[in-house]
Parts: sequence; C-alpha cells; structure tokens
Amino acid sequence: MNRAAFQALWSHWRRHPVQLATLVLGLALATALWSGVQAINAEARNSYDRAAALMGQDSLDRLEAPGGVTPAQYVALRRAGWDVSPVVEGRLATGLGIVGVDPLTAPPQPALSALAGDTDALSGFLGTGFLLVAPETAAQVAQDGLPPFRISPDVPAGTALGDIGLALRLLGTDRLSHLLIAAEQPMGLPPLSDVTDLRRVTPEDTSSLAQLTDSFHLNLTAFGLLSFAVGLFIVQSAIGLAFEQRRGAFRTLRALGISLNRLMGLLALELGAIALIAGLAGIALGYGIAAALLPGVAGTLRGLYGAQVSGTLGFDPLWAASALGIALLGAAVAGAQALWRVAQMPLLAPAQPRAWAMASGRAIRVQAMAALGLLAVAAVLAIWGGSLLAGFACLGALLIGSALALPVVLLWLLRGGARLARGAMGEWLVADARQQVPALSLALMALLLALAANVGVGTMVGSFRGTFVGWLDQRLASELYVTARTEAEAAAVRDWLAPRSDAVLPIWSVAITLRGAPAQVYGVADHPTYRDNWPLLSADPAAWDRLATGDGVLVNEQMARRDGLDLGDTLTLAEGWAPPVVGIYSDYGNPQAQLIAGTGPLAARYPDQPRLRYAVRADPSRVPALIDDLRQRFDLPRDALRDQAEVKALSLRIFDQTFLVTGALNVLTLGVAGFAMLTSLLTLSSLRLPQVAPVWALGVTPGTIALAELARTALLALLTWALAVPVGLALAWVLLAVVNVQAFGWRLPMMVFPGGWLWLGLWALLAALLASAWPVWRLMSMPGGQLLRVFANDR
Amino acid sequence: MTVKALWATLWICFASAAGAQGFAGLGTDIDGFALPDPDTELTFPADHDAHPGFRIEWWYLTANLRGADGQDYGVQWTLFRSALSPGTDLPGDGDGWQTPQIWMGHAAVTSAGEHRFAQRLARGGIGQAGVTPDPFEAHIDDWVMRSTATQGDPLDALKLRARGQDFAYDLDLRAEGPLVLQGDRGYSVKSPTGEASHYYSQPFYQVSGTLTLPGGDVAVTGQAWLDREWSSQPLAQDQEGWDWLSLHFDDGAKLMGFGLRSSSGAHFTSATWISAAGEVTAYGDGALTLDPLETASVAGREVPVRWRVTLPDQGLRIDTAPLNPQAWMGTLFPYWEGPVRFDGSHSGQGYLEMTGYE
Amino acid sequence: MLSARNLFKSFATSEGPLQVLRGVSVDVAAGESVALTGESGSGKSTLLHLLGCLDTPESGTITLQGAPLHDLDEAGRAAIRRRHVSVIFQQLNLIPSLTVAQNLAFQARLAGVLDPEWQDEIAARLGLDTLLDRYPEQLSGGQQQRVAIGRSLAIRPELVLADEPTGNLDETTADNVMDLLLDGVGRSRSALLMVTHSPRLAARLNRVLHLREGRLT
Ligand SMILES: Nc1ncnc2c1ncn2[C@@H]1O[C@H](COP(=O)(O)OP(=O)(O)OP(=O)(O)O)[C@@H](O)[C@H]1O
Ligand SMILES: [Mg+2]
Repeated sequence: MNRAAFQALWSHWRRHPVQLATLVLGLALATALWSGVQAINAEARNSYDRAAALMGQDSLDRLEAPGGVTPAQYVALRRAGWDVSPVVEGRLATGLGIVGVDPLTAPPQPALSALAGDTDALSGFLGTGFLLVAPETAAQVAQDGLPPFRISPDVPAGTALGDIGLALRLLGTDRLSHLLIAAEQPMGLPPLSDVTDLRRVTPEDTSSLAQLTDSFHLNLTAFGLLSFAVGLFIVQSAIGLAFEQRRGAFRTLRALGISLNRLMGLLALELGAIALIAGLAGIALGYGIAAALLPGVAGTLRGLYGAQVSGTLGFDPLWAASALGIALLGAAVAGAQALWRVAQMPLLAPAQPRAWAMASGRAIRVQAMAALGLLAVAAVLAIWGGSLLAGFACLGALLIGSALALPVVLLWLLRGGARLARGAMGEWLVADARQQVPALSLALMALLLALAANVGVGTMVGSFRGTFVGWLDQRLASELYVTARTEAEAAAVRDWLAPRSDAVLPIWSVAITLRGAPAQVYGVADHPTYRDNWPLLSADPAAWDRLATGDGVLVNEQMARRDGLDLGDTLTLAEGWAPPVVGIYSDYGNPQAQLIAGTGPLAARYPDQPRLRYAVRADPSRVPALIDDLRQRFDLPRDALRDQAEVKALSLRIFDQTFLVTGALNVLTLGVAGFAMLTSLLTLSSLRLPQVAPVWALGVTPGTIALAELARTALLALLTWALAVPVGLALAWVLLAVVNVQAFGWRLPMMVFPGGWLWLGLWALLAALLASAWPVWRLMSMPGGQLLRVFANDR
Repeated sequence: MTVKALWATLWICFASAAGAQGFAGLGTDIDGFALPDPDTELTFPADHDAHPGFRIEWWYLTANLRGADGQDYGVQWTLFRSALSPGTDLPGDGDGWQTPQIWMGHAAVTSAGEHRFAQRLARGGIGQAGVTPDPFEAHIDDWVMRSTATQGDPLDALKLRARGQDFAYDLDLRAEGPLVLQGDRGYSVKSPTGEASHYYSQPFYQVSGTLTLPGGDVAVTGQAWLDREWSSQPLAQDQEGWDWLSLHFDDGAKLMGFGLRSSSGAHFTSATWISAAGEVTAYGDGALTLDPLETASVAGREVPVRWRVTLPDQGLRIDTAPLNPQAWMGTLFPYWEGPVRFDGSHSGQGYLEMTGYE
Repeated sequence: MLSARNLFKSFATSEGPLQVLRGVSVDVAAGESVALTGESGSGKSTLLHLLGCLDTPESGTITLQGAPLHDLDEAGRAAIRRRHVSVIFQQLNLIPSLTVAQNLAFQARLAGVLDPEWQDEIAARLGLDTLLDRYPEQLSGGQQQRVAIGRSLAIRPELVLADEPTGNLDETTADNVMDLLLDGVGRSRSALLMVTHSPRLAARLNRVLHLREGRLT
C-alpha cells in the first residue's frame, strides 16, 4: 500500500520535472553556499592552527623582550643550562613570511619533518641553507630570488622556514624574535629570573590570529547564512506549490483509506529523499564554490591581517556530513509549513487552490510593526552598542527589519502608484503588481537583501579604497625607496645618494612588546616630508618638534582605539623612556599596533638595530636615472629599488586582492536572489492563468500581456532596488562606523558612489527580466485553448 | 628526530671520504678537509684546542668511580665537533650563526641499576659551544671541561660538569701521569688501507666530586681517562663499527685497545700498552684480540657485553663484565658505552664503547 | 449581421483527431437573441469560441457585418473582441486584481469607448452601485455574473456571446441574471447568442438552435 501511495505522490514530480529541479537546485544552492563558506572557514582555521603550532608557539612558553632578544642573551641562558631555542620571525618586503629556527635545539615538530631521514637535507639546511615551504608558497619563493627551497606540506602557507642563520640574514636583523622554553628542563637549574631579564610569556589559549580574523569569518558566515536563507525561500515556494497542486491527490489518497499519519510520513519521506539528493549535489557544489573562492579568501586574510591561509582545499568527511545535515534541516524548515497545512486539511474540503490573494490588512499591520521594531533595535544598537557582536546584531536587525518592511512599503507605494496609473492597462498593471506582492514577497525580500548587501559592501569597499588611495598619496611622499642588503652597503648608498638627492630618510623600526601585545616603533627623521604629508587624526600642535626631541611619540589609530589612548598618555618604549602620545595617525590595513618616534631618540635607545631601508626625496624626473645608476653602482636586486608609483600600484593591487571575495560573494547572492525570483515567478505562472485569461478574452493580444508581465516584474524589481539603496547605505554606515571600528580599529569616512547604484539597478532589472522571461514565455506560448479552458474547466 | 639525520650524514661522509684516498697526498680530501699526516708533530697545549680544518674531533672522558654509598658508578663526558665544511668559524668570528661547526655533547652516569644520559647539540660561532685554548675550556651549554691547572699542562687538572633531566655531576680531576700519544707519535691508523686519525690520551686522572641524582647527592672518587682524537676519515668504507676499551689495571698500567669490524670479515685491531710510569708500547693490527663471550638484548638489539681480551705480547688474557649491561646511549647515533670490570691474567676496571650494532 | 458558413473544427487528442464541428452554418441578425443547445461535449463552447474570435476554424467563413473574421491575425481578432463582440463565460470572467468599478469599465477603456453615463446606467440597472469598490473574490457567483454582463455591455457590442452564464447559479438567481441580461442586451441593442442546457431559459429567447454530431439542426 505504501508503495502504491508513494508512487501516486511521486508521479506528480514526473509530470512537473521543472518543479522538482527547482526544489533540488534551490536546496542544493542553499546547502552549497552555506557549506562552502563553512569549508572556507574551516580551512582558514586549520591554517591558523598550523601557523600557531609551528615552532611550538601554541604550547611552549617563550621568552621575549621589547626590541627582540640578542644572541648574547640566548647564549647566556644556554650556558646557564636552560634548554631554550631561538626563533626569528619576520616578513620580507614581498610579503613572504620568514621563520628561522635552530634545528639543533628546536622542539620536535612536523614542520621540520622534511629533514628527517634525509641525510643530506639537514646538513644542507644548516650549511649552504635552503627554505622549507608549503607547496602553494613555492611559486612565491621561486620568484623572489631567494635561496633554494624544498617542499614541506607541514609549513604554513605564505611562510618560508629556514635555519636561523639564514633567516636572520634574509630579514636583515641580528635580533631574535623570542626563545622557546622546552617543556622538560635539566635538573637543578638556577631560577630563570636570576639568569635573564627576558620576560616569560605563556601562550594564550587561542591563537591571536584566530581572534584577529574572527570578525572576518563572522562576516563570511553571515554571507553564508544569508545565501542559505535565500535558498530556503526557493525551496519553500517550490514545496508549497507542489503541495498545493497535490491537494486533490492527497484528498483522494485519504479517501482511499490512507491515514493522515501515513500520508504525512510518506510526504516527509519524499521530502527527505529529495533533500538527500539535493544535499549531495550541494556538497559537490559547495566544495566547488569553496575551492574557487579560497584563493581570494586567502588573499583577503593576507591583505587584511597578514594571516597565511593555504589556497588549496582539503576534503573533510565531517564537513560533508554536516552539509548533508544542513540540507535535511533546511528541507524540514521549508517543508514544515506545507506539511502543517496538509495535517490541517479537512478530508472533505474542496480541493481549491489557496488564493494567492491580497494579504489581509491585519497581517500587513503586524508585519509593519515587527519591521519598525527591528529597525528601532538596529538604531539603538548602532548608537549604543559597543562591541563587534552588537555591530553584527545591528546589521542583522537592520536587514531583517528592512526585509519585513519591504512588502508593506511596496504595497503602500503601489497604492499611491495606482492613482498615477493612466489607461486601463496601466491600472491593471499596477493593481496586479499589488496583488502579486504577497506571493512574491519572499523572492523580493531576497532581492532586497542581495541588493542592499551589494550597495552596503560596495560602499564600504569603495570608501575604504578611496580613503586608502588618498592616504597612500599622502603617506608615500618620497619619490624613491631603497633597501640595502647590509649595513655597509646601506652606508655606501646613503653617502652616494646624499649629494644627488634632496634628502635621504631612513625607514627603520624596532619590534617591541607594549602592553602585552607586539608593536612596531618606527624612527622617522625630522623632515618636512613627514611634517607636511603625514596624515594625523589628532595631534599636539608641536607634535613633530616633540618627536624630534624624544618628548613624544605618535600612535596609530588601531592602537589608540584598542588601548584607549589619548594625547598625553605615556608609553614605555624602552627602559627609562616613556614619552607621551602627541599624535594619532590613521594606518589603514595594518592589524598591529604601530608607533612613530623621532629617529634620534629611538636610535639612542636601540643602537644596534640595522637600518637598511631609505626613503629618498628627489625631483621625480630624475628618479628613473637615479634608479639606473644605483642599480649599476651597487648591483642592487630588482626589488631593492622601488619608485613611488610602483609602491602605490603594489599597495593597490594588494588592496584589490583583499576584496575579491567580497565581490564574488556579492555576485553569488545576487545570483541566488535572481534564482529565487525565477522560481517564485515560475510557481506563480501556472496560477496566473485565471488572472491573465480574462484580460486576453477582453481583447488584449498575448504580446501586450507578455510586455505587461515583464513590466510588472521590472516595476517590482526597480521599486525593491530603490528601497535597497537606502538600506544598503545604512548597512555601509554600520559597517564603516561600527563593525570596522570594532573589528579593525579604524573608522573610515563614508563615500557614496551613485554611479554604482545605477549599475546595480540595471543588474537588478536584468536579473528580474531574466527571471520573468521564461515564465512569461511559458505563459504566452501556451496554446490558446489552454487559456480558454480556464473558463470551461469545472473546478 | 631530525638531527639524527645530521649525524648519520656525518658518518656517511666519513665513509665516502675514505674512498677519496687519491687526494691523501695533497693533505686534503675532496671536500677540502685536512687529512691526518703521520709527519705531524703534536704540540701542547696548542693541540688541546679544536682543529676546525678537520671534519670531526672529540674530547672524550670516561671515569670509573666509587661512591660514598659503596656503589660503583661510571661517568661519561663527551664533546664532539663536526664540520659541515672546512672553516674557521670558531667563537669570535663574524657571522656566528652560519658557522659550519656543529657541536654535540653526551653525558652519562651509570650505576649497576640505572643508566642515565643526556645529549646537547649546538652550533659553534655564537658561543654556545666550543673550545678555548687559554685558559683551556671545552663546553656546550652549561656542560664544561675546564682547566684548573695553575702550572704544567692545562689538562693536568680539570673541572668537569654536566647535567641532564635526572642527573648532574661536578667532578675535579688531577692527572698523575703524562699525556700519552697513541699509535705512531699520535698518528693512529684505523684500517689496513691507511685511514687514520690524530690521537692522544690522558689516562692518569684521579677523580673526586659529587654526583647529583634524584635520590640525593653522592660523593665519589675514582679514576678517569681522557681521549682526544681528530680526523677527517676515521673509518674505511667496509667498516661497520668498532669495539673500544680503555682499561685501568690494578697495578697502575693502562691499555687502550680497539677492534674495527669489517663487513668483509677481516677485523682490524690496534692497542697501546701504557706502563704505570707512562711508557708507551703501540701494537698494530692483530696483536690484540677481542672475542665476544656473551650478548645481551639492549634497546631491541643483540650487543656483546662480555669480551675476552688478549694481548699475548703482554701476557694479557682477561674477561670483561659490564657494571650495567644496559648502558645504551639512546642518542642521535646510538651506541653502547659503560664501565666494565675485568678478571683473568690481570684485574681492574675501565670503559667499553661499542658502535655500529644495528 | 453575423454570418458563419460551413465551419469545421477538430482537436488533436491522444486517440487521434476529434472532429467537433462538421460544417456548421449560422446567422444572427442584429438585436436578435438566439439560444444554442446540445449535449455536453457536442461542441457548443467550441462554436462560441470561433464566433467570438477566441479560436480559429479549420475551414469555413465568419463575417461580422460583412467583414471576414476567420482569416484575421491574433491582433485583428483581439481588436474584434475588444470592440465588437463581448463574451460572458460561466465563471472567472472578471480580473481578480481590479475592483468591480474597474472591471466594469475595463473593456470600454481598452476599446476607448468609455461612456460614463452608459456606465452608470448599467451599474444601476444591474444593481451594482453598492458593490463598486469590492474585488471579484468578495462577490457571490450571481453578483460576479452581473458584473460580467455589465462589463460586456459597456462597449455596446454588436454581439454578446454567453456560454452558460447562469450555469453555476441556482434557479432564482439564474432567472434574475437572465432578466438583467436580456434587459441589458435590449438597451444596448446588441444581438445575443447564448449557450444553455436549460430549455426554460432557451424558451425566453427568439430562436433555439440545436447542435448535434457537429451540425446545427
Ligand atoms: N482544447 C481542446 N483540446 C482537445 N479537445 C477539446 C478541446 N476543447 C474541447 N475539446 C473537446 O471537444 C468537444 C467539444 O467540447 P465543447 O467544450 O465545445 O463541448 P460543449 O458542448 O461546450 O460541452 P458542455 O455542455 O459540457 O460545455 C469535447 O469532446 C471536448 O472534450
Ligand atoms: Mg461548454
């Protein structure tokens, strides 16, 4: 009996393959976007863990000092019997991370496994030297003209692992970043505090990178959730339609003696089978999406946080299982309403299709109140919420509130529009649009969310880029940047350049630990280049003078916000040197605390820091000649000399790479929204016959009707777009003024790009027209008899 | 462990260097390392210092001690130097981290019931490990062998310290006899094909000091033997390992003897008889015989822990027995090293080292 | 006024072509009212659709006041429906998204012949004054058919074609609607061709045609 009943139910899908495809595709899409984002997040977290575990940094205590550890301090500890191992970490100008270790004293670890069992490898590693890199980093290392490398999959992406001697040379420093303290120590050692001034630091539970990037992943997750929700809209409408159309069949089956429970069970089974298939498709699709997006995500994380994430995706069965679970859950959520209605259906009720009629005034009022409430919550959170979570909650409230408000506002606008409509057809068009709003509202909400996200994220990225470009212009005031390989070469370059340029300004820095977090102090010369160009957010009037005398330090906005610093607060930069903050400057794109001190005072405290980089002021027209001369004279490698334009181009390239994923996700959500629209319209098209047939019978040609149908969808899409723009701007404001400040520590001025909105409007229009083209074509290419049947059909 | 590979490399390097005999006449091998030269006159204290032009070198001290608790103990203190390439990057030289000199320390305290050992690795060039000639000090981390001699040879009096996770020791050594040149005036041949090393010893130390063990401090006294050896090619290609003995006879005489095991079957032996007054008689291949009497299962392999040693020319025929058959050095390149007692024609105590038992 | 000659029409079905009309000829004079009867499935609706330019015959001719209708294209037929021939179906005549008032005026406005006075008169005669702001789904079946009659008369068509306009209604209501229809047709001076199964209703018209085996008798 089950079998026969199931066949009867299933025959519906055989007659409506498009409906089935819509259902499967919708669920697959929802699953794919959600699980794809999850896969990306998991891969990134994996990379952080790998990076954190490198050199036991996640488990072993370490010794550190502001400005780094000297080899003498290291040797003193070893000679006191303490089993410590040196590590140096840094980054080359090209962005490649360098980690130097001493394999003779390092704690055992997988990253060095490439050396195990290979007899020549270790002596090569220690001797002439080579770097160990992950497969995906190989190209980067090959290009940079670095020492030879070997592949070790256990090294985090974007990082090259080398012997400490080699790493120190590559990084141009003689300071160690920190010393790792082995877990097991020899017996009878003197206390650490008797042996060294270095500070013992216990690693935090979670890697700092994971914390830093949390907000980004939350962002991704939000995008994934949005897509999932949009996908469920599709599923819901497809299931709803299928159930409506089968009401007759349900009634017949029940009349034939199949109990309600059995019917519900069969339907749930059917839904589960479909969800399973869709889930499998979604896993494949999600893996594809994740694999395609991952390089972009890796770029973003590298650009924004300096986090190194592998660009290749592994396949995790656990992930696949959870994706399948999500698909089943989604189907259950989307199907619950339909099943509920079946359960409520009285046996003898006429098998009449639910009227896709006007939402009642009361329902609309409730929805309007809910929307207003949510928007009010969003406003409160935006103004008074002081955390990242509050920022995201605000975003959520804003988006959901706007989505709920959409049908209300659309109905209201269309009511007004009805008065403006001219002619019978115009009136019908607007009136029919109004009637379609409740049926299309889910799809339109999806469109609103996609468009608003587009406007919002676009505005944020655009504002960021605009600000960044302006800031680069100011900050890259020097015409030429030179990096020498050794101190001696640096001195020679400096002497050679002195008579040939307007100024040679050293760029050098000291890595210190300030208030428990790493910070970089840059020494800058007292020169108009900085006085005139460096953008300060707030400053003491005599800031630059006080910097030069050592009676002041500038901090970047990130640090000021994070530590609640204000002008006048003092910071201990070295023993016995605690200058006050005399200025705060914007420092976009830098995740770390950064400070600027006068080069003289800083050099006095940190005398043996190498100074290998210089900014050169010169007449721009003479720069190419200078570059040629410098290169020939000192035989400098290609990337040792960079002119202003090149640095700018490089920075912008990194920036644009950073936001590639955002763009891709934007396009994807818009695509999904378009698909939701298509399925809703398809669903509606079969129910629209009674609406369209009388108009046709009254003497309107099918062509005109088709045009009217298209115009109506376009009208709804355009109205939705018009509402999405202000929502998107509000979204951008929350992102820039709330989320950004909480996540990155800098606030950006908001810039608007109306041109972009127009383009988006065109896209929305195109998406809507594409989505409606097929249903309209189906409606219109129906044989005339079909329309006539509407009138003859005895229902 | 990864560094294991390094040492494996080094031993393999020696083997391949041995194949480069054609260059022996020039005094360097293919990689540019110096080769032992029979005409070299060892001079002291200069040769106590490191010889960075050679591939490998060691300062190797073993002690047979008796504790105030009545127990016998053995102590080992060894510093190996190994060069990745010939160079002079010793302390004080410029680019310290990128020195080719790699140092390894092994220390052990052996009792009848427990064999405790530790290992240290370091590169030269940064002051973490190395040897300074004046005042003489060999060290790696906090392990030191430092001269405390106020006159005479720097090795006449030494302070010796080392520690591991479950032991430490602090010993004072005083030599009661002269330095002894092994082989032909310190040129010690290691194979029929002529591989050799520079080799001298100080076998006459009297020791006193303290062992620190988990159960508490133990005052000890006893005898010790220091070997100094450097070369670039100590083993021939077909040589698998060696069995080496340093013996203190009860009458004050000493014997150094070793046998190099060859895969081709023909073992190569060498011995030096040192009278109580320090007069040396060197014996070439075949004079000394070493015959395993009994093996023990040590660290998953069969190792001969009792030996019959004969040197007919001195009327020597003794059987050795280990203080602790499990004196296994589970270090990067593992070997057996521990105190022994012997009986037979002579009696006394000493140290046995066995390498190459896979 | 309306003259059809020798109309043939068949439908493709799974069991092969189904010949529904086999040479039907019919004439309707101006202002005349004609009843069309026949068994279910005999082709009454089919014939009505051909005459109302909702479908095209396979062969045969149809002329309205001498102008041929059978070879018009889709736009031409739409124009005839808009301006000259009104159709009233058994159900679903109205546009669900428009109010009664809008429905009443819709066809007239499409055709550009809106006459407010005539419009008011129709509404009054049909008793729709109080229902003007309602939507079709808020009306009873009889009310809906009254609106359909009003709408079809608004253009003062030459011919009103009605396909069982009272088929869904009870007898009293059906009589009432019938009265209004005949009254309206009279006022707008339109001819009426009405399909009905009810001999009682058929008897109220000038003439009765019977369709059987694809021919009129
Ligand atoms: N589009 C169509 N395709 C196939 N067959 C059709 C189509 N329209 C009508 N028919 C068939 O043509 C025949 C005539 O149908 P029609 O609707 O004209 O009958 P009718 O006389 O109006 O019947 P009733 O009194 O039940 O309304 C019927 O057998 C019907 O099944
Ligand atoms: Mg009919």
